[in-house]
Amino acid sequence: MEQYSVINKRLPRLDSISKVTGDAKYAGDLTLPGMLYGKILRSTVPHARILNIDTSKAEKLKGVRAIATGKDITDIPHGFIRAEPAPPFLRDKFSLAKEKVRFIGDEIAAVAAVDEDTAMEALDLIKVDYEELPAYFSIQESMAPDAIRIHDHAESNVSVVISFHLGDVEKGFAGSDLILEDNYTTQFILASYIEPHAAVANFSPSGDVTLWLSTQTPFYDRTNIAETLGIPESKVRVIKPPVGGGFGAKTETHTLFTASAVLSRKTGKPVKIIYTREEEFTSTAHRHGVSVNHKIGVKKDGTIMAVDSKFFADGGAYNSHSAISMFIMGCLQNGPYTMGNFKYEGIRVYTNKPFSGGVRGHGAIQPRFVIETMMDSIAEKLDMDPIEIRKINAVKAGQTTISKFKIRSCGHVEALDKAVAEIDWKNKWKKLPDGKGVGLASMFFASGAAFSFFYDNPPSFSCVNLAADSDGKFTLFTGTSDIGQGSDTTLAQIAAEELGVGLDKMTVVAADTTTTPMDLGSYSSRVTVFGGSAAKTAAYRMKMKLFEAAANVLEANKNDLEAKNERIYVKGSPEKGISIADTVIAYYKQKKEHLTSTGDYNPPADVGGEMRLDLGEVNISPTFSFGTHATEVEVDKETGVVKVKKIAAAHDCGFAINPMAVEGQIEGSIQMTFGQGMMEDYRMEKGWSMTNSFLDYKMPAPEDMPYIKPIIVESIDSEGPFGAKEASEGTNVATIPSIANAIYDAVGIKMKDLPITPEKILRALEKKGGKE
Amino acid sequence: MKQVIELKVNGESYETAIDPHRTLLEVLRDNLGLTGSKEGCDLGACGACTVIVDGKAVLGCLTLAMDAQGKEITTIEGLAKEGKLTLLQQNFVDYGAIQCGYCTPGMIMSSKALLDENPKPTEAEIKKGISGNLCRCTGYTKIVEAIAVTAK
Repeated sequence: MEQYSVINKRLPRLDSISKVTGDAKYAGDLTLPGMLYGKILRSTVPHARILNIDTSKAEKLKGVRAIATGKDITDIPHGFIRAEPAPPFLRDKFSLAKEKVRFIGDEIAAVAAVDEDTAMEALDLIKVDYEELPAYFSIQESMAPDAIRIHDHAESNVSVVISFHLGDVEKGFAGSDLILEDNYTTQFILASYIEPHAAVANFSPSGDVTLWLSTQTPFYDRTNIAETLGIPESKVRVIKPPVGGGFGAKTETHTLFTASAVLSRKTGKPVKIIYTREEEFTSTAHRHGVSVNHKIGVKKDGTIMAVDSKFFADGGAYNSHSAISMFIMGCLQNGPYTMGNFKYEGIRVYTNKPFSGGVRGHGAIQPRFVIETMMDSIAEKLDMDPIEIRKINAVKAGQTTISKFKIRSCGHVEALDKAVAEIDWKNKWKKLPDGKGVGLASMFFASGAAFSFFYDNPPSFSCVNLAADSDGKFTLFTGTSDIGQGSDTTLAQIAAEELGVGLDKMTVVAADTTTTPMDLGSYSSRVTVFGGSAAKTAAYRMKMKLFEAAANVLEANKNDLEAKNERIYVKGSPEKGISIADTVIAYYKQKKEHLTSTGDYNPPADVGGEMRLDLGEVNISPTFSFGTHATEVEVDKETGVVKVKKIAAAHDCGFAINPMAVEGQIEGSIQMTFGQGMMEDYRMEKGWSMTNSFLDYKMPAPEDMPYIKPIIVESIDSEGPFGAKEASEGTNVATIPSIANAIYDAVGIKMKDLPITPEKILRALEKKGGKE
Repeated sequence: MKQVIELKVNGESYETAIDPHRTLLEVLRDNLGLTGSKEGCDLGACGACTVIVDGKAVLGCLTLAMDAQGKEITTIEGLAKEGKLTLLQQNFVDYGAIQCGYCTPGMIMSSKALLDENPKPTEAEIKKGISGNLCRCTGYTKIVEAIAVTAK
């Protein structure tokens, strides 16, 4: 096996020193001369027409510099889905309400003042007259025949319907020996990054605006901001400083981004807005809560013949990612097993609640909970081991699934074997004493979306520029967003390996819409494969230029050269060489030009294709990750408390560019999904949030966490850079069903409603009659 | 009405005029330009604002700046000397205990206070010591490891 110098190494992140010394400056840490502070006025009613907004008293308050309302922005709504042929209604949100408010927390006005206290005081002086309308807080209420429309375009308050039918499920069920049907529900959760959203906007007198935003998608924000303000994109510069976690929710252009720019334009001063934690809870994107009806038909030998799946999702007041969320809740059911024939209907419904969008494991968490727990039920009825039924149906490398997913590499079975070995399945499953049990679940996930629902014609999907310096160092320019996952370091490791230099020779300049090449950003676990491939290509091209210059100096054939240990030399004769720093200078002398290179990445021809969300037959990603979690639990039958003892989490990431980072992704993402599975619950009463703080919204603290054993599986993918695939969102998808299946092994109850609280455990035990 | 207070932070004296209701976190960040301490919740629930006052880890968002007068305040900016990281900081770097980094300053200050008081904590004591610090990126595994290695 090839020996690598920089990749496959447990190297610290490039930004780690700045982060342990307090030197890293996040958006909220920035201060500009003359800066004002902004605050947002939010609706206090769940559904109303706005009759009048009186800002006169607030304007007179000493220290108030500007107030913006819906009149100060264009009539172009924003959203995550924009490109043709997306239906126009998919963009349905104005940064500041135009005529109606649709949830408690909906944005109405924004104030800029000399300090935060004055801005807060001004909010109290703005008088809003509402004509209150009936409000709906559940899918059932919204879809009731007499319900009025939350958005004029949406009949029965259905925000979006995605349905597809692959093969023939009727035939599949007819040929099944066993058909199982069940219902499930999942709850709203919040991404709950520790850094609240922050924005600093600075309009210059020339009409250009620069913004520092805590975002995952600076280029999307640039477009949304330009459209909201009615100025050309070229006038908007978005810079992403260090970001304190995003987990999907920072792919939204939330109101503070546009409002800070509007206020800066009005005042001619820089404006900073930071959301409070309460605003994060009431007014940013949540994970969809769903109600599911699911039917699976299998043959006696366990072969899956047909799946009929119906998802109702509570979308809240606006569309956000809507159509994509509903699409992937369907298509991400088509693996890691061959599903025979497949039918899906995903119905997303507007309610007068905060909107739902994309959160880590987007569209995969909910269906995976359903499928993996049902797989265990089927296995039991067929008297099979849960491992066996998964292996029988497992997709294999080289296969193209019914959804047209091309499986280039697949480490699922290896991950399954390793996870169950680690948990000691053989000696524990069905063998532990009452109250103790083990369970497992498998998953797969896309390594980046091979389509853009935002840009019709992006120049490429990812681009990396490299520039060489005379001391043999390289600067890597990328539009991708490191939001904590460590992608800047991943890209730098890939480029350094290709160039034959150490990681200390790399500097990364990232995510600045003016100085870095356009990139779609950080979502859909895309950066390693997309940005990483672009980095590898750029580095290869840089290396070829270096070889040409070195060949002239060494009087050698450039095709015989090799770059390693910061030197270029003739293969097999390391003594006949030249340092990379000297080669850069030689290049300058020979060419009289700067030494730069560019690499682009676009998914291969058999990926992507026609952008039709309704077909369900489209290869959504260049390649897919796989994995299995095996979990051990103890259930206290007196209290209903579940103690998750251990999660063995095996993940096929193709190839680990940085094993320490992959482990960190596995451990961290399990924390989030463990939270959703066992404790996190965003609760509301009549449209009011009952969980507005980390005191009310319990997420896992250090003492809550189970022992996690990350296991890296490397299937060496043919498409990803050096064989790498995603190691991000996919790492958390199997957690919840593996816990639920372990609970069944421990006490014989099927948990079908999240979160799995002690109260629900006790109720289920009582119903089973097994309470002792 | 603003009042002039004097704070001793990382061994340096600072004089600044503040409204009496300002928290230590606000004054560190807004008046003294020490933005390493972070605000995550403003309610004492996340620990991102943790600093050390007279040897004890305290929440900057729940401490009035007025009450910190005459005390030794240490923030994340006060640990590394002339560019040399402390062993604890270095282990956070080397063991991958950092992802987004937003909880990191508070996490390191809580860990430092713990190790100063109990140089050889058990794993359970480490978890308890940082139980007031929320992290959403790491799952805590590598943070606990970095602290445990420092205590060895």
